[in-house]
Order: sequence, then C-alpha cells, then structure tokens
Amino acid sequence: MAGRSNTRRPALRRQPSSPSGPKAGPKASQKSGRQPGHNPARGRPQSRVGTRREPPWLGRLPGRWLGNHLQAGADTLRRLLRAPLSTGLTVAAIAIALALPAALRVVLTNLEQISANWDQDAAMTLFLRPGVDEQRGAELATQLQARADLDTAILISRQQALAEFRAYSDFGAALDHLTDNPLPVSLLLYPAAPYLVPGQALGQESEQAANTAPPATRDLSSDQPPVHAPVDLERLASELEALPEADFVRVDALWLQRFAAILALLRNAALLLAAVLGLAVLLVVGNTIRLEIEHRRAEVEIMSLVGATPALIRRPFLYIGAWYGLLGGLGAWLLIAASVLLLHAPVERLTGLYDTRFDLHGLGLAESLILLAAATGLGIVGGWIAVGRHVRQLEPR
Amino acid sequence: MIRFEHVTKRYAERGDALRDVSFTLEPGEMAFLTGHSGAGKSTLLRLIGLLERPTRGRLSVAGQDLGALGRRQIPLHRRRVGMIFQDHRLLPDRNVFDNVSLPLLAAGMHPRELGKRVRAALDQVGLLRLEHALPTSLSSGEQQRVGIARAVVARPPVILADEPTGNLDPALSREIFHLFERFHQVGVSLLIATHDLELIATQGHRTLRLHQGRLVADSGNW
Repeated sequence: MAGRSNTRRPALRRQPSSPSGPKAGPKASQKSGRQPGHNPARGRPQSRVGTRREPPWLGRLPGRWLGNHLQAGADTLRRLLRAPLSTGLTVAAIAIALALPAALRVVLTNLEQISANWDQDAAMTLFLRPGVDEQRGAELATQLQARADLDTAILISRQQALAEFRAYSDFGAALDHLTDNPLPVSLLLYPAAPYLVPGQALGQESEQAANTAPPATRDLSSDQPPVHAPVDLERLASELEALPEADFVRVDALWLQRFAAILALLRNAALLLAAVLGLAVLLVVGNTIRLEIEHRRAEVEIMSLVGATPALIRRPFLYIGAWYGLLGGLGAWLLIAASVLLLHAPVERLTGLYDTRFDLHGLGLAESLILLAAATGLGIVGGWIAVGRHVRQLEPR
Repeated sequence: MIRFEHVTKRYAERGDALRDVSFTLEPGEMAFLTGHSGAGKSTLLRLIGLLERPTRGRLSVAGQDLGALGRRQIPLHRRRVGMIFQDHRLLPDRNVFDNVSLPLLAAGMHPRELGKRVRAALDQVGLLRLEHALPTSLSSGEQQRVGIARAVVARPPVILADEPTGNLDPALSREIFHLFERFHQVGVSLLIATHDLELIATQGHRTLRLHQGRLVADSGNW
C-alpha cells in the first residue's frame, strides 16, 4: 500500500461514536468525506465493536461458543507443549498422584475376582453326634430347611461321607481295613440369601453394596455364591450347635468373610487415598496455574483493561488446568497399564504353581473413563481456585 | 461525554488523590489534563476507565452513571474507553498485530474477522509494515503508537491518554499529538494527561489543571 508516511495519510475511517458536540461537529463532517453515510446527529454507530455488528444472541450460539472454546483449548495445549519440561514434570506429579488410588482399585478388582473364583460349597457343615442315625438326620434336614436363615440343608449319609473321604484322601487302602464306618451323619447347610456381605454380591439387596461396588464388579459377582455376614453366621453356628443331635459345626465360609472384611477395609482405604491424592492434584494444578498467572500477570491486566470479561480472562487458565488433569490422567492410566503388563507373566507363573487359572485385569473401560474425567475435573477445579482470586483482584475498588 | 460531579477519591494509604472535582467534557471535545506528578491526573483517568471507583461524588460517561454499573458491566464500559499509557503496556511476547487485536478479542470478535480492523488501526498510526514485529524490537515512539492503535482499534468514543509522550523527544511527541488531533477531528472525545506544557500551548485546546487533587484551572485556551 502507498502513502504510508504520517503526513500523507488520509483521514481516519472512523465515525464519531456519539452525537458530536458543537465544537467537533463541523470538523468531523469536513474530514469524513470518505464516509458517505456519516451523520453527526446519529447515535452510536452500529459497528463500533466487533460484537455490536451482529445481534447479541448470535454470540451465544453453540457453534460460535464451541469454536471459541476449541480455539482456547488448542491455544493452551500449544502453549503447554512449548514448555515440554515443566509441563512434563507437572503432568508426571499428577499422574503419580492419580496412579496410586487407581492402582489400589485394580488390586481390589483382582482380589475380588480371586474370591469370586473360590468355590463356596458347604458354607457350613453340621456334624451330628455318632449315635444319631440317617432317619433322624433327614428329619432334622427338613426341620432346618424351614428356618428363615437357612436356604438348603442336604443330608450326607455315613456311606456318602465314607465314599467321599475315600475319593479325596489317600487313606483309601487303610479304610478297607475298617470293619465299621467311623464317620457320623452330617448336614450340608447353605445359609439364606439375605445374609450378604456389603459390596460382595448381588447389589440390589443391599444399598451399601450398590454404593461401594462399581458396576463392573457387581456384574462380575452376580453369578457367584454369596458370602454371609459374619455375625449372622456365627450366631447361626452356635444355635445349631445347641441342638441335642449336634456334635459340632464347621463354618467353611468364615475365612471368606474375613477376606471380604479385609477387602472392604482396603476399599475404604482406596477411597481415602483417592480423596487425599485428589486434594494433592488440586494443589499441584492450583499452584502451577498460580505461577502461570503470575508469569502472565501483564496479559491478565491488559485483557481486563481492554474490556475482557472475567470468563474470558479465566478461560485459558481453566483450559490449562483441564489439560494438566487430562494428561495426568492419561499418564496414570499408562502407568497402570504398564504395571499390569509387567506383572502379567509373574502372576501367571504364581497361579500356575497353585494349579489355578487367573487373569490379571487392568482398568476397565468405564473405570478408565472415570479416571480421565475425574482427572480433568480436578484440573479445572484447581485452575478455578487459582484464577478466581486473581480475577477478583482486578475489580475496581 | 464525561461528567464529574464533586468527585473525591481517597486512598487509605495516602489520603485524598482527588478532592471535589467537577467538570464536563463534551462529546468530541479534546482536552488536556495537567499538573505536577501526584496531582491526581492518573487517578482521574483511572476513575473514567473504571479501574477504580470514586469514594464520593458522581461520575458519568456517555450519560451512563458509572456508580450504577455492576461488576458484570465493567468490561462493556471499558470497551467504550480506549486507554493509552506512558509505559505502553504492551505484551512483550506477542507481536504488534496480536497486541493491537486484544481489545477486539476481548469484545468477542472472531479472529477471522479482526484482521481488517487491526490493519486499519495500524495504518492509522503508520505501523502497518511492522505488524509482525515484537514490541521490544521497536523504538519508544513506535511502541507508543502500537499502544495508540490498540486504544483505537475497537473505535471507542472516548480515548484517555496518561502521559503518552512522557518518554519521547519533542519531535516524536508532536507526531503523537498529531495523531490525537486526527482522532479529535473525527469526533472522538479525548482527555490527555500530560505535563508537556509547551505542546499544550501550541495546540490551543481546553486545559484542566489539577493541584493536589483539586481542579484549580479550566481554560478553553491556556
């Protein structure tokens, strides 16, 4: 373009933005020959500021809004990637903080899976006194089955017991020398379904179960036999032992209950750890963004000075928080995925020694998405906390 | 355009910066604001830009009582007031074009649309060829003109300048005042704080003089 020097430049292409005063009016109209539509008496021109050119609702259209946000998201990501070292360090800190509770979650899922695989036949065995015969045993079985807290009672005759003993022990040959069957009549008892350990099975019956067990594990455990509440099982056992025919009761499920109790404890510990480390993520993100704001203080002040809304000033910092959270979440996910891959072979070797099959599970799809969403959310909240104070400081006093 | 009615601004730390100031600046009027440093010039401009609020009194811009503006309306008000500072207040890590485009971005203009407006503003101050330069590579006079382009790019009806020529030699100062003169000619209201008395004398515009926070002189031709 020609005419770049100051003296030769034509008059400004500008309209008076308000009704011109007596002093300025004539001058303005003199100089505004290039503006055919100029009218000194007119009110505010329509095109003073960009947004004024269009109806105000247009700016709130989702397309425009989305475009602005995509732009802000891309800009902040580019800005973060321009400083890979400091970004990487922050992301690593967040990733480790998030990986710990997530890893505990994975450990829990796998332990629950192990316990689900355990056969829980014979939740209880009631051994009858040596003198009690099969008929009395059958009567007792019918009697006990009527109890509300018992589901099934199966009579194991002395012959059955002997046959089983012969089959499952190495004493087969020795047993042949016995003239008499030394084994008593016994009853195999399955306690009724309402005795569920919270979180261990069939969520619908127990609200607690619904709260603590994620959907994935509930599905997994829906076809597994329930483990029963410790108190009820122990009381039931002592009640049964008080029967005149009873010799003693063996509660096979008791150690499973203890295992379930340990799992419940671990689950609570995982929640606590997640809360504490979530707070740590908030602090890491908040502090990083606070430093970023200090670094860009001039920019924040100037944006405020030229009429940027607090939302616009806040936006890049919230996106930084979101990116830190999301990248940290991805980092945590990768850490866990790598650990599961590394542990896969050793776990297989171990379970091979115990003659069982067991697949080590990583984070499921739902859990992964929850991890990423929670991480991003924490990042945004951290950013909000950090930037809120600074935006308030910009307000006039 | 700008109306002060018994405006007082008191700071907790250093007492009254402005005391009972009353004056009216007509639309399209250009006026100088002078006085020693600490006389309250900057405070007066900051009140108009709503960077601060008066302790007492009423202040209105374009008929709008600033005291009635809530937090959410402040950004809208600031878009109607272009501010120029002695230290330019440019962002050193953004080039000239990006610096000038900030008010349009603040107003929500789409980046695609603002190019023309930014270049028009840069053309007005004669810096079109430097749009990709970083502010730090520019001379002081050029930096000040970038600051001016930023103040006018959104075409505000009011322009405030706080010691715009404070760091400039007389020739550059005259250049800057020529620019202001041109804005004045197209009907923009200007209030320029300066202690460059020599320049004021050659311009023949209204001059408001502050002394220790009081408006002590108001002359059409000082």
